[in-house]
Amino acid sequence: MFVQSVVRARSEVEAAWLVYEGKPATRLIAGGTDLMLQLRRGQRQALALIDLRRSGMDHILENEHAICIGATATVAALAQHPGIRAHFPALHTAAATLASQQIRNLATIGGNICNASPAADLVTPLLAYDAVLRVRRGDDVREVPVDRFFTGPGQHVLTQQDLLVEVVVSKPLPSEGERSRFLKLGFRGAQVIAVVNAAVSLRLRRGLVAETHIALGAVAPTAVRAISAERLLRGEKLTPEAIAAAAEAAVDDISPIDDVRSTAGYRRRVVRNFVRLALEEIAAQVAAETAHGSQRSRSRA
Amino acid sequence: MAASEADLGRSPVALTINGRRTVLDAAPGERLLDALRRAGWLDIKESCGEGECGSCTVLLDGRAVCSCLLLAQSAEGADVVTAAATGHRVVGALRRAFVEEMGTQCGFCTPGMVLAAADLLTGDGDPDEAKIRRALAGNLCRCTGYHRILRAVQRAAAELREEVQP
Ligand SMILES: Cc1cc2nc3c(=O)[nH]c(=O)nc-3n(C[C@H](O)[C@H](O)[C@H](O)COP(=O)(O)OP(=O)(O)OC[C@H]3O[C@@H](n4cnc5c(N)ncnc54)[C@H](O)[C@@H]3O)c2cc1C
Repeated sequence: MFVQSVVRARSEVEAAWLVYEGKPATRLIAGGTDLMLQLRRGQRQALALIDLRRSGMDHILENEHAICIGATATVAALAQHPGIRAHFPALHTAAATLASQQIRNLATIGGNICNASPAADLVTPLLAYDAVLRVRRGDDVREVPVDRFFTGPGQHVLTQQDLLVEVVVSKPLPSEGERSRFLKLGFRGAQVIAVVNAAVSLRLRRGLVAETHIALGAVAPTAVRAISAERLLRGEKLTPEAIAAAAEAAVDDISPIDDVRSTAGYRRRVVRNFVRLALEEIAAQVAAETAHGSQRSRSRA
Repeated sequence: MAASEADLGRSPVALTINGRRTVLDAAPGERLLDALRRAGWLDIKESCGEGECGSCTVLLDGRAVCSCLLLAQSAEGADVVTAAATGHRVVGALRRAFVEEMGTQCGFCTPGMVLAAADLLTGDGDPDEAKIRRALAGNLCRCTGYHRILRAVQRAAAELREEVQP
Protein backbone atom coordinates (compact mmCIF):
# COMPACT_ATOMS: atom_id res chain seq x y z
CA MET A 1 0.00 0.00 0.00
CA PHE A 2 1.55 3.29 -1.05
CA VAL A 3 0.75 6.76 0.06
CA GLN A 4 -1.39 8.27 -2.68
CA SER A 5 -1.96 11.73 -1.37
CA VAL A 6 -0.58 14.24 1.09
CA VAL A 7 -2.72 17.11 2.33
CA ARG A 8 -0.99 19.95 4.12
CA ALA A 9 -3.07 21.38 6.94
CA ARG A 10 -2.65 25.16 7.23
CA SER A 11 -4.20 25.67 10.65
CA GLU A 12 -5.35 23.77 13.71
CA VAL A 13 -8.97 24.10 12.61
CA GLU A 14 -8.20 22.77 9.14
CA ALA A 15 -6.17 19.90 10.62
CA ALA A 16 -8.98 19.03 13.02
CA TRP A 17 -11.60 18.88 10.26
CA LEU A 18 -9.33 16.99 7.85
CA VAL A 19 -8.85 14.37 10.56
CA TYR A 20 -12.53 14.35 11.47
CA GLU A 21 -13.55 13.75 7.88
CA GLY A 22 -10.60 11.56 6.98
CA LYS A 23 -11.24 8.27 5.25
CA PRO A 24 -9.95 5.03 6.74
CA ALA A 25 -6.24 4.55 6.01
CA THR A 26 -5.64 8.26 6.53
CA ARG A 27 -2.87 9.12 8.97
CA LEU A 28 -1.42 12.21 10.53
CA ILE A 29 2.22 12.99 10.00
CA ALA A 30 4.11 15.56 12.07
CA GLY A 31 7.91 15.23 12.17
CA GLY A 32 7.72 11.86 10.44
CA THR A 33 10.61 10.45 12.47
CA ASP A 34 8.53 7.50 13.64
CA LEU A 35 5.94 7.24 10.88
CA MET A 36 8.23 7.46 7.82
CA LEU A 37 10.18 4.42 8.98
CA GLN A 38 7.04 2.51 10.00
CA LEU A 39 5.55 3.11 6.54
CA ARG A 40 8.74 2.01 4.78
CA ARG A 41 9.03 -1.12 6.92
CA GLY A 42 5.39 -1.95 6.33
CA GLN A 43 4.64 -1.76 10.07
CA ARG A 44 1.99 0.88 9.42
CA GLN A 45 -0.09 1.52 6.33
CA ALA A 46 -1.52 4.72 4.94
CA LEU A 47 -3.19 5.72 1.67
CA ALA A 48 -3.40 9.37 2.61
CA LEU A 49 -1.38 11.56 4.93
CA ILE A 50 -2.40 14.77 6.65
CA ASP A 51 0.76 16.81 7.09
CA LEU A 52 0.88 18.91 10.26
CA ARG A 53 4.24 20.63 9.65
CA ARG A 54 2.67 23.93 8.66
CA SER A 55 -0.46 23.71 10.77
CA GLY A 56 0.73 26.45 13.13
CA MET A 57 0.34 24.27 16.22
CA ASP A 58 3.98 24.67 17.27
CA HIS A 59 3.56 27.35 19.94
CA ILE A 60 5.10 27.15 23.41
CA LEU A 61 3.21 29.65 25.56
CA GLU A 62 4.05 30.38 29.14
CA ASN A 63 1.84 32.14 31.64
CA GLU A 64 1.86 32.45 35.41
CA HIS A 65 0.27 29.05 35.96
CA ALA A 66 1.31 26.79 33.12
CA ILE A 67 3.24 26.17 29.96
CA CYS A 68 1.09 25.22 26.96
CA ILE A 69 2.98 23.30 24.30
CA GLY A 70 1.46 22.95 20.83
CA ALA A 71 1.42 19.38 19.52
CA THR A 72 3.82 20.15 16.67
CA ALA A 73 6.38 22.03 18.79
CA THR A 74 9.67 20.31 18.01
CA VAL A 75 11.79 18.54 20.56
CA ALA A 76 14.56 21.05 19.70
CA ALA A 77 12.24 23.95 20.56
CA LEU A 78 11.36 22.30 23.89
CA ALA A 79 15.04 21.82 24.69
CA GLN A 80 15.71 25.52 24.05
CA HIS A 81 12.78 26.95 25.95
CA PRO A 82 13.94 28.80 29.10
CA GLY A 83 10.62 28.36 30.92
CA ILE A 84 10.65 24.60 30.42
CA ARG A 85 14.23 24.50 31.62
CA ALA A 86 13.40 26.52 34.73
CA HIS A 87 10.12 24.90 35.75
CA PHE A 88 10.27 21.41 34.25
CA PRO A 89 13.91 20.33 34.30
CA ALA A 90 13.07 16.66 33.72
CA LEU A 91 11.21 17.55 30.51
CA HIS A 92 14.08 19.80 29.48
CA THR A 93 16.67 17.05 29.98
CA ALA A 94 14.55 14.46 28.18
CA ALA A 95 14.16 16.77 25.17
CA ALA A 96 17.79 17.88 25.13
CA THR A 97 19.08 14.29 25.14
CA LEU A 98 16.51 12.73 22.79
CA ALA A 99 18.07 11.21 19.65
CA SER A 100 20.29 13.69 17.77
CA GLN A 101 20.05 17.30 16.63
CA GLN A 102 18.78 16.23 13.19
CA ILE A 103 15.98 14.22 14.79
CA ARG A 104 15.17 16.84 17.46
CA ASN A 105 14.73 19.44 14.72
CA LEU A 106 12.00 17.32 13.10
CA ALA A 107 10.47 15.31 15.95
CA THR A 108 7.43 16.79 17.70
CA ILE A 109 6.04 16.36 21.19
CA GLY A 110 2.71 15.25 19.69
CA GLY A 111 4.43 12.55 17.65
CA ASN A 112 6.38 11.33 20.66
CA ILE A 113 3.15 10.98 22.63
CA CYS A 114 0.90 9.60 19.88
CA ASN A 115 3.40 7.03 18.67
CA ALA A 116 2.77 5.60 22.15
CA SER A 117 6.07 3.81 22.54
CA PRO A 118 6.54 2.59 26.14
CA ALA A 119 10.08 4.03 25.83
CA ALA A 120 9.11 7.51 24.60
CA ASP A 121 11.41 9.92 26.42
CA LEU A 122 9.03 12.87 26.77
CA VAL A 123 6.24 10.77 28.24
CA THR A 124 7.85 9.90 31.59
CA PRO A 125 8.43 13.59 32.46
CA LEU A 126 4.87 14.41 31.37
CA LEU A 127 3.63 11.69 33.75
CA ALA A 128 5.84 13.04 36.54
CA TYR A 129 4.35 16.52 36.02
CA ASP A 130 0.70 15.38 35.63
CA ALA A 131 0.42 16.91 32.17
CA VAL A 132 -2.97 17.30 30.54
CA LEU A 133 -3.47 16.56 26.84
CA ARG A 134 -5.95 18.65 24.89
CA VAL A 135 -7.64 16.58 22.20
CA ARG A 136 -9.82 18.00 19.47
CA ARG A 137 -12.59 16.30 17.49
CA GLY A 138 -14.07 18.66 14.95
CA ASP A 139 -14.86 21.71 17.06
CA ASP A 140 -14.98 19.92 20.42
CA VAL A 141 -11.97 19.97 22.68
CA ARG A 142 -11.58 17.59 25.61
CA GLU A 143 -8.83 17.18 28.16
CA VAL A 144 -7.22 13.85 28.89
CA PRO A 145 -4.77 13.47 31.79
CA VAL A 146 -1.62 11.88 30.44
CA ASP A 147 -1.90 8.96 32.86
CA ARG A 148 -5.18 7.97 31.18
CA PHE A 149 -3.97 8.38 27.61
CA PHE A 150 -2.06 5.15 26.90
CA THR A 151 -3.71 1.75 26.67
CA GLY A 152 -0.82 -0.43 25.49
CA PRO A 153 2.30 -0.45 23.33
CA GLY A 154 1.52 1.78 20.34
CA GLN A 155 -2.02 2.31 21.62
CA HIS A 156 -3.89 5.21 23.13
CA VAL A 157 -7.39 6.55 23.60
CA LEU A 158 -7.52 8.71 20.45
CA THR A 159 -9.86 7.61 17.67
CA GLN A 160 -9.33 8.10 13.93
CA GLN A 161 -11.19 11.40 14.25
CA ASP A 162 -9.13 12.90 17.06
CA LEU A 163 -6.26 15.34 16.89
CA LEU A 164 -3.89 16.04 19.76
CA VAL A 165 -3.57 19.82 19.79
CA GLU A 166 -1.80 20.83 22.98
CA VAL A 167 0.03 19.61 26.05
CA VAL A 168 -0.51 21.62 29.24
CA VAL A 169 1.91 21.36 32.16
CA SER A 170 0.94 23.26 35.29
CA LYS A 171 3.68 25.06 37.16
CA PRO A 172 4.20 24.24 40.79
CA LEU A 173 3.91 27.18 43.17
CA PRO A 174 7.33 28.42 44.30
CA SER A 175 6.25 27.62 47.87
CA GLU A 176 5.72 23.97 46.90
CA GLY A 177 9.46 23.62 46.39
CA GLU A 178 9.26 21.10 43.58
CA ARG A 179 12.40 19.37 42.34
CA SER A 180 12.62 16.88 39.51
CA ARG A 181 15.02 14.69 37.59
CA PHE A 182 15.15 12.69 34.33
CA LEU A 183 17.44 9.70 33.90
CA LYS A 184 17.92 7.55 30.84
CA LEU A 185 19.98 4.48 30.08
CA GLY A 186 20.90 3.59 26.50
CA PHE A 187 23.80 2.00 24.64
CA ARG A 188 25.37 5.36 23.98
CA GLY A 189 24.89 8.92 25.13
CA ALA A 190 22.85 9.93 22.10
CA GLN A 191 20.65 8.57 19.32
CA VAL A 192 19.23 5.66 21.29
CA ILE A 193 15.88 4.38 22.43
CA ALA A 194 15.95 3.94 26.20
CA VAL A 195 16.63 0.62 27.90
CA VAL A 196 14.95 2.36 30.85
CA ASN A 197 14.04 5.97 31.45
CA ALA A 198 12.78 7.57 34.64
CA ALA A 199 11.36 10.93 35.67
CA VAL A 200 10.84 11.84 39.31
CA SER A 201 9.18 14.96 40.70
CA LEU A 202 9.03 15.64 44.41
CA ARG A 203 7.63 18.35 46.68
CA LEU A 204 8.79 18.87 50.24
CA ARG A 205 6.86 20.64 52.98
CA ARG A 206 8.72 21.34 56.23
CA GLY A 207 11.27 18.66 55.42
CA LEU A 208 8.67 15.98 54.63
CA VAL A 209 7.68 14.61 51.23
CA ALA A 210 4.34 16.25 50.48
CA GLU A 211 3.94 14.75 47.00
CA THR A 212 6.02 12.72 44.58
CA HIS A 213 5.51 11.20 41.15
CA ILE A 214 7.86 8.49 39.96
CA ALA A 215 7.41 7.67 36.28
CA LEU A 216 9.21 4.81 34.56
CA GLY A 217 9.53 4.02 30.85
CA ALA A 218 10.38 0.89 28.83
CA VAL A 219 9.54 -1.37 31.76
CA ALA A 220 5.83 -2.09 31.14
CA PRO A 221 3.35 -2.03 28.19
CA THR A 222 3.04 1.74 28.73
CA ALA A 223 5.07 4.19 30.76
CA VAL A 224 3.95 3.70 34.38
CA ARG A 225 3.93 5.41 37.75
CA ALA A 226 5.61 3.58 40.62
CA ILE A 227 2.58 3.97 42.85
CA SER A 228 3.74 1.86 45.78
CA ALA A 229 7.12 3.60 45.87
CA GLU A 230 5.35 6.96 45.86
CA ARG A 231 3.06 5.86 48.68
CA LEU A 232 6.03 4.83 50.84
CA LEU A 233 7.63 8.25 50.44
CA ARG A 234 4.66 10.51 51.18
CA GLY A 235 4.90 12.03 54.63
CA GLU A 236 8.46 10.78 55.13
CA LYS A 237 11.80 12.52 55.39
CA LEU A 238 14.07 11.95 52.43
CA THR A 239 16.48 9.75 54.39
CA PRO A 240 18.76 7.08 52.86
CA GLU A 241 16.46 4.44 54.43
CA ALA A 242 13.30 5.92 52.92
CA ILE A 243 15.02 6.22 49.55
CA ALA A 244 16.23 2.60 49.66
CA ALA A 245 12.74 1.38 50.56
CA ALA A 246 11.16 3.34 47.71
CA ALA A 247 13.72 2.04 45.21
CA GLU A 248 12.95 -1.52 46.30
CA ALA A 249 9.20 -0.97 46.08
CA ALA A 250 9.43 0.50 42.57
CA VAL A 251 10.50 -2.91 41.25
CA ASP A 252 7.05 -4.27 42.18
CA ASP A 253 5.36 -1.52 40.17
CA ILE A 254 6.80 -2.60 36.82
CA SER A 255 6.41 -5.57 34.46
CA PRO A 256 9.47 -5.51 32.20
CA ILE A 257 10.13 -7.98 29.40
CA ASP A 258 13.17 -9.34 27.56
CA ASP A 259 13.56 -7.68 24.16
CA VAL A 260 16.20 -6.58 21.65
CA ARG A 261 17.47 -3.86 23.94
CA SER A 262 17.69 -5.61 27.28
CA THR A 263 16.37 -8.25 29.65
CA ALA A 264 13.63 -8.01 32.24
CA GLY A 265 16.09 -8.75 35.05
CA TYR A 266 18.48 -6.01 34.04
CA ARG A 267 15.64 -3.52 33.70
CA ARG A 268 14.53 -4.30 37.28
CA ARG A 269 18.02 -3.59 38.47
CA VAL A 270 18.23 -0.33 36.56
CA VAL A 271 14.84 0.79 37.90
CA ARG A 272 15.98 0.16 41.47
CA ASN A 273 19.17 2.16 40.85
CA PHE A 274 17.47 4.96 38.91
CA VAL A 275 14.82 5.57 41.57
CA ARG A 276 17.51 5.63 44.25
CA LEU A 277 19.79 7.88 42.18
CA ALA A 278 17.06 10.36 41.26
CA LEU A 279 15.91 10.63 44.88
CA GLU A 280 19.49 10.95 46.14
CA GLU A 281 20.16 13.73 43.65
CA ILE A 282 17.03 15.54 44.76
CA ALA A 283 18.00 15.11 48.43
CA ALA A 284 21.47 16.48 47.66
CA GLN A 285 19.95 19.44 45.83
CA VAL A 286 17.68 20.19 48.78
CA ALA A 287 20.64 19.96 51.18
CA ALA A 288 22.75 22.27 49.01
CA GLU A 289 19.93 24.80 48.69
CA THR A 290 19.27 24.73 52.41
CA ALA A 291 22.97 25.30 53.19
CA HIS A 292 23.09 28.09 50.63
CA GLY A 293 19.89 29.64 51.99
CA SER A 294 21.06 29.65 55.62
CA GLN A 295 24.41 31.08 54.54
CA ARG A 296 22.61 33.86 52.74
CA SER A 297 20.38 34.72 55.68
CA ARG A 298 23.43 34.67 57.97
CA SER A 299 25.41 37.04 55.74
CA ARG A 300 22.41 39.34 55.52
CA ALA A 301 22.10 39.45 59.30
CA MET B 1 9.58 -0.08 -3.95
CA ALA B 2 10.74 3.21 -5.42
CA ALA B 3 9.76 2.27 -8.97
CA SER B 4 6.11 1.47 -8.31
CA GLU B 5 5.73 4.28 -5.84
CA ALA B 6 7.10 6.78 -8.32
CA ASP B 7 4.43 5.68 -10.81
CA LEU B 8 1.82 7.33 -8.65
CA GLY B 9 1.49 10.78 -10.19
CA ARG B 10 4.18 13.11 -9.03
CA SER B 11 3.29 16.63 -8.18
CA PRO B 12 5.39 19.78 -8.12
CA VAL B 13 6.99 20.97 -4.89
CA ALA B 14 8.26 24.55 -5.04
CA LEU B 15 11.17 25.33 -2.75
CA THR B 16 14.53 27.06 -2.60
CA ILE B 17 17.69 24.94 -2.89
CA ASN B 18 21.00 26.62 -2.16
CA GLY B 19 19.49 30.01 -2.85
CA ARG B 20 17.85 29.07 -6.14
CA ARG B 21 14.11 28.72 -6.56
CA THR B 22 13.39 25.24 -7.80
CA VAL B 23 10.46 22.97 -8.46
CA LEU B 24 10.94 19.31 -7.58
CA ASP B 25 8.63 16.59 -8.81
CA ALA B 26 7.74 14.27 -6.00
CA ALA B 27 5.42 11.32 -5.52
CA PRO B 28 3.13 11.61 -2.47
CA GLY B 29 5.02 9.28 -0.14
CA GLU B 30 8.45 10.10 -1.46
CA ARG B 31 11.30 11.19 0.80
CA LEU B 32 12.97 14.56 0.28
CA LEU B 33 16.24 12.62 -0.01
CA ASP B 34 15.04 10.79 -3.16
CA ALA B 35 13.52 13.83 -4.79
CA LEU B 36 16.69 15.86 -4.25
CA ARG B 37 19.03 13.18 -5.55
CA ARG B 38 16.84 12.64 -8.61
CA ALA B 39 17.09 16.38 -9.26
CA GLY B 40 20.88 16.03 -9.30
CA TRP B 41 21.86 16.98 -5.75
CA LEU B 42 24.18 14.02 -5.39
CA ASP B 43 26.13 15.60 -2.53
CA ILE B 44 23.30 14.36 -0.32
CA LYS B 45 24.13 10.75 0.58
CA GLU B 46 22.06 7.86 1.78
CA SER B 47 23.59 5.35 4.16
CA CYS B 48 21.20 3.93 6.72
CA GLY B 49 17.98 5.52 5.51
CA GLU B 50 16.71 5.39 9.11
CA GLY B 51 17.83 8.64 10.70
CA GLU B 52 20.73 7.02 12.53
CA CYS B 53 23.77 8.04 10.48
CA GLY B 54 23.27 11.64 9.36
CA SER B 55 24.63 11.17 5.80
CA CYS B 56 21.48 12.60 4.25
CA THR B 57 21.43 15.74 6.41
CA VAL B 58 20.26 18.99 4.80
CA LEU B 59 19.53 22.36 6.35
CA LEU B 60 15.79 22.92 6.27
CA ASP B 61 14.97 26.55 7.06
CA GLY B 62 18.36 26.76 8.74
CA ARG B 63 18.14 23.63 10.88
CA ALA B 64 19.84 20.29 10.21
CA VAL B 65 17.39 17.48 9.50
CA CYS B 66 17.58 13.98 8.05
CA SER B 67 16.19 14.17 4.53
CA CYS B 68 15.41 10.44 4.70
CA LEU B 69 12.70 11.11 7.30
CA LEU B 70 11.04 14.04 5.62
CA LEU B 71 8.34 13.86 2.96
CA ALA B 72 9.38 15.81 -0.12
CA GLN B 73 5.86 17.25 -0.16
CA SER B 74 6.38 18.61 3.35
CA ALA B 75 9.28 20.72 2.12
CA GLU B 76 6.99 22.91 -0.01
CA GLY B 77 8.06 26.53 0.43
CA ALA B 78 11.14 25.58 2.48
CA ASP B 79 14.66 26.89 2.20
CA VAL B 80 16.97 23.90 1.70
CA VAL B 81 20.75 24.15 1.94
CA THR B 82 23.14 21.33 1.03
CA ALA B 83 26.87 21.00 1.58
CA ALA B 84 27.43 22.12 -2.01
CA ALA B 85 25.92 25.55 -1.32
CA THR B 86 27.93 28.44 -2.65
CA GLY B 87 27.61 31.81 -0.99
CA HIS B 88 26.70 30.32 2.40
CA ARG B 89 29.20 31.77 4.85
CA VAL B 90 29.11 29.06 7.51
CA VAL B 91 28.90 26.11 5.12
CA GLY B 92 31.74 27.58 3.04
CA ALA B 93 33.99 28.04 6.07
CA LEU B 94 33.30 24.49 7.23
CA ARG B 95 34.01 23.02 3.79
CA ARG B 96 37.40 24.78 3.68
CA ALA B 97 38.23 23.74 7.24
CA PHE B 98 37.40 20.07 6.54
CA VAL B 99 39.90 20.16 3.66
CA GLU B 100 42.58 22.00 5.61
CA GLU B 101 42.30 19.76 8.68
CA MET B 102 41.86 16.62 6.56
CA GLY B 103 38.57 16.01 8.34
CA THR B 104 37.53 13.63 5.59
CA GLN B 105 38.74 10.28 4.29
CA CYS B 106 36.26 8.35 2.18
CA GLY B 107 34.06 11.45 2.22
CA PHE B 108 30.68 9.78 2.40
CA CYS B 109 29.75 11.27 5.77
CA THR B 110 31.31 14.67 5.08
CA PRO B 111 28.34 16.58 3.64
CA GLY B 112 26.22 15.54 6.63
CA MET B 113 28.98 16.45 9.07
CA VAL B 114 29.37 19.88 7.46
CA LEU B 115 25.66 20.58 7.72
CA ALA B 116 25.24 19.32 11.28
CA ALA B 117 28.17 21.55 12.22
CA ALA B 118 26.60 24.45 10.31
CA ASP B 119 23.44 24.10 12.42
CA LEU B 120 25.62 24.32 15.54
CA LEU B 121 27.82 27.24 14.45
CA THR B 122 24.84 29.27 13.29
CA GLY B 123 23.51 29.32 16.85
CA ASP B 124 26.81 29.20 18.78
CA GLY B 125 29.96 30.82 17.41
CA ASP B 126 32.27 29.46 20.08
CA PRO B 127 31.20 25.95 21.12
CA ASP B 128 33.42 23.88 23.39
CA GLU B 129 34.44 20.35 22.44
CA ALA B 130 31.59 18.73 24.36
CA LYS B 131 29.06 20.85 22.47
CA ILE B 132 30.59 19.96 19.13
CA ARG B 133 30.52 16.27 19.99
CA ARG B 134 26.89 16.56 21.00
CA ALA B 135 25.97 18.41 17.81
CA LEU B 136 27.62 15.71 15.70
CA ALA B 137 26.24 12.77 17.70
CA GLY B 138 23.80 12.01 14.89
CA ASN B 139 26.54 11.65 12.26
CA LEU B 140 28.54 8.46 11.90
CA CYS B 141 32.03 8.36 10.39
CA ARG B 142 33.75 5.00 10.01
CA CYS B 143 37.13 6.36 8.84
CA THR B 144 38.47 9.30 10.77
CA GLY B 145 37.87 8.50 14.42
CA TYR B 146 36.25 11.96 14.57
CA HIS B 147 39.36 13.71 15.84
CA ARG B 148 40.10 15.68 12.69
CA ILE B 149 36.43 16.39 12.22
CA LEU B 150 36.37 18.06 15.62
CA ARG B 151 39.44 20.09 14.70
CA ALA B 152 37.84 21.13 11.41
CA VAL B 153 34.75 22.41 13.21
CA GLN B 154 36.89 24.28 15.75
CA ARG B 155 38.93 25.82 12.94
CA ALA B 156 35.86 26.93 11.03
CA ALA B 157 34.40 28.44 14.20
CA ALA B 158 37.62 30.37 14.82
CA GLU B 159 37.74 31.64 11.22
CA LEU B 160 34.13 32.75 11.36
CA ARG B 161 34.79 34.61 14.61
CA GLU B 162 37.77 36.41 13.06
CA GLU B 163 35.72 37.41 10.03
CA VAL B 164 33.16 39.06 12.28
CA GLN B 165 35.74 41.06 14.19
CA PRO B 166 37.13 44.03 12.20
C1 LIG C 1 17.32 7.74 14.78
C2 LIG C 1 16.15 7.93 15.71
C3 LIG C 1 16.39 8.11 17.06
C4 LIG C 1 15.32 8.29 17.95
N1 LIG C 1 15.60 8.47 19.27
C5 LIG C 1 14.58 8.65 20.15
C6 LIG C 1 14.84 8.86 21.52
O1 LIG C 1 16.00 8.95 21.96
N2 LIG C 1 13.79 9.00 22.36
C7 LIG C 1 12.50 8.96 21.92
O2 LIG C 1 11.58 9.09 22.72
N3 LIG C 1 12.22 8.76 20.60
C8 LIG C 1 13.23 8.61 19.72
N4 LIG C 1 12.94 8.42 18.38
C9 LIG C 1 11.54 8.33 17.95
C10 LIG C 1 10.93 9.64 17.41
O3 LIG C 1 11.92 10.51 16.94
C11 LIG C 1 10.09 10.37 18.48
O4 LIG C 1 9.11 9.52 18.99
C12 LIG C 1 9.42 11.63 17.90
O5 LIG C 1 9.06 12.51 18.95
C13 LIG C 1 8.19 11.38 17.05
O6 LIG C 1 7.63 12.62 16.65
P1 LIG C 1 7.27 12.92 15.11
O7 LIG C 1 6.72 14.29 15.06
O8 LIG C 1 8.44 12.66 14.24
O9 LIG C 1 6.16 11.83 14.88
P2 LIG C 1 5.50 11.26 13.53
O10 LIG C 1 6.36 10.16 13.03
O11 LIG C 1 5.15 12.35 12.61
O12 LIG C 1 4.17 10.66 14.16
C14 LIG C 1 4.17 9.58 15.08
C15 LIG C 1 2.75 9.08 15.30
O13 LIG C 1 1.97 10.06 15.99
C16 LIG C 1 0.81 10.41 15.24
N5 LIG C 1 0.63 11.85 15.45
C17 LIG C 1 1.56 12.83 15.28
N6 LIG C 1 1.07 14.03 15.65
C18 LIG C 1 -0.21 13.82 16.07
C19 LIG C 1 -1.25 14.67 16.58
N7 LIG C 1 -1.06 15.99 16.74
N8 LIG C 1 -2.43 14.12 16.92
C20 LIG C 1 -2.63 12.79 16.77
N9 LIG C 1 -1.70 11.93 16.30
C21 LIG C 1 -0.50 12.44 15.95
C22 LIG C 1 1.13 10.03 13.82
O14 LIG C 1 -0.04 9.74 13.08
C23 LIG C 1 2.00 8.81 14.00
O15 LIG C 1 1.23 7.66 14.19
C24 LIG C 1 14.00 8.26 17.47
C25 LIG C 1 13.77 8.10 16.10
C26 LIG C 1 14.82 7.94 15.23
C27 LIG C 1 14.55 7.77 13.76
